[in-house]
Amino acid sequence: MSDVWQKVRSGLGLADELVIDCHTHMGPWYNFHIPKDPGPVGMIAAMDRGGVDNVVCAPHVGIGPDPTLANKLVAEAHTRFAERFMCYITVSPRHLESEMLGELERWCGQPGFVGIKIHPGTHEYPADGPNYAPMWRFADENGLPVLIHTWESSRECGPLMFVALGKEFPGAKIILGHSGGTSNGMDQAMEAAREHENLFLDLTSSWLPYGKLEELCGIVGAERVLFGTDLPFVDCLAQIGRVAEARISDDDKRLVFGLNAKRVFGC
Amino acid sequence: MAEISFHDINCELGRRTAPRLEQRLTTEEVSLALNYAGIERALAYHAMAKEYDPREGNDALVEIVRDNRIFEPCFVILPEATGEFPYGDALIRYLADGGAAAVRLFPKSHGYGLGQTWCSTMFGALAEKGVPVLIELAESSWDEIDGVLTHNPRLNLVVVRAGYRNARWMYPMLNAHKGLYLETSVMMTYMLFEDVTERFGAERLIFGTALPDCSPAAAIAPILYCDIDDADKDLIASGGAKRLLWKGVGS
Repeated sequence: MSDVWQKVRSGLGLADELVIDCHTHMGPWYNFHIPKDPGPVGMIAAMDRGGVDNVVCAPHVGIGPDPTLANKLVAEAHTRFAERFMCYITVSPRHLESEMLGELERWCGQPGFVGIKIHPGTHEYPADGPNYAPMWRFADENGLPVLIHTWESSRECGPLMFVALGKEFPGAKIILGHSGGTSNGMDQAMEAAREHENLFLDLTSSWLPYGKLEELCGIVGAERVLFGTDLPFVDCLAQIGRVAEARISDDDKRLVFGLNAKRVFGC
Repeated sequence: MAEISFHDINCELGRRTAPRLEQRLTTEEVSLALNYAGIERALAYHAMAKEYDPREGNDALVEIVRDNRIFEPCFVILPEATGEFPYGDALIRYLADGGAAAVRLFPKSHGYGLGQTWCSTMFGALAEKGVPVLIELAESSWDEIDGVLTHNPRLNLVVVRAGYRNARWMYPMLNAHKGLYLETSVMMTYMLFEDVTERFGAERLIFGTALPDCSPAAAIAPILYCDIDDADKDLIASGGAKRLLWKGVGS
């Protein structure tokens, strides 16, 4: 039996493994209740249950109406808990270009900021539309990771559109959030990732299909699969079990749990 | 952490109409997946009972269970009005003869409603004999389930596969209906196990895997690592199922 799974199944957890969650948020959300404390202190308690060392975070308010507020909130979280929170610069295509560029320039290079987050779904704007172009150029020039919410066949964020974006902006590290979401979406994400080596697959999902992680690692390679959970949009514990028990090698599990994120985010 | 045993109440066996390749598991493969995850027992229904014919599916399930003691049968049934299934004592005999430990309904897939017009006789018999009823949320709605439990206060009803956006629906219903239980396979709400245990008691949560669709370890880990005491983890993992499932006529 896998050592990693044996530790998790026996209740020992992942305390001695590096675990970096590449896809987290923070705070409340409008259309469902998030129990307990979804702020930084509560999130750290949630992370500690399963042995998550560090998260890369884009507060909920940023994928909603106010990315500027989100960037301040995550900067504060990093200031208080530097070892536990890294930060995305969240930007919206629905406000002024000057605001988008202002946020990117203000926060890029600041302590804790390691990438950019966009949500074409909630902002109802395609990731390859002109309003996002300044963000892509910025990410390309600065070699930044960009985490994008992606979903099966979506006009705003279907995984296959990132083949062209990956070729146009080769300096950006494009992380396909949710790997396309559904099982069919994951098939599209794998197809896209095979086309361009700078596309990465994020495991974040609110349901964890049997056998799919093994397929992602087998077809694209474990070195391009990142552990993500959506904490506190959803909990992180199920995803820990899914990765720990997967029928892949323990070396691959360690890549997925944290070593890939360490390389991609340079942390 | 004390050793916790797991008893799955949400497992599907048999050939499905349109399975994805990675989830097209034989009974033996489901059994191996349960075993690898350390799950000792699984309440299962047969896919043929959902996707072809309930009686034929139930018969196929009985055959499987005879040779695979890790499984126990969950029969899929229909309300009696069309004459496809018996009612009253005859229904209970049918369940007992097959060794069913619970029943599962697919009202949306099978084309009927859960209200009194369709199901009052069936729910009356099941409530009287203590046979628990499993219903997937996607096969019904919180409103409809609220109606079922309001009209059948002695019925034990397990809502299966309620996802992470449901707390505002679930909490008032957990307050209102003592017979409402929640199966946990895709219940990925942040800190939900802690919150439901604190507010309503761990006995309202019943472990399930949703195999072969979902990873069984994804269902186990939240129970192993949530911040509640071991006795409550035991209740969710297996104690609740052992208490809830039907042991047959006279139990």
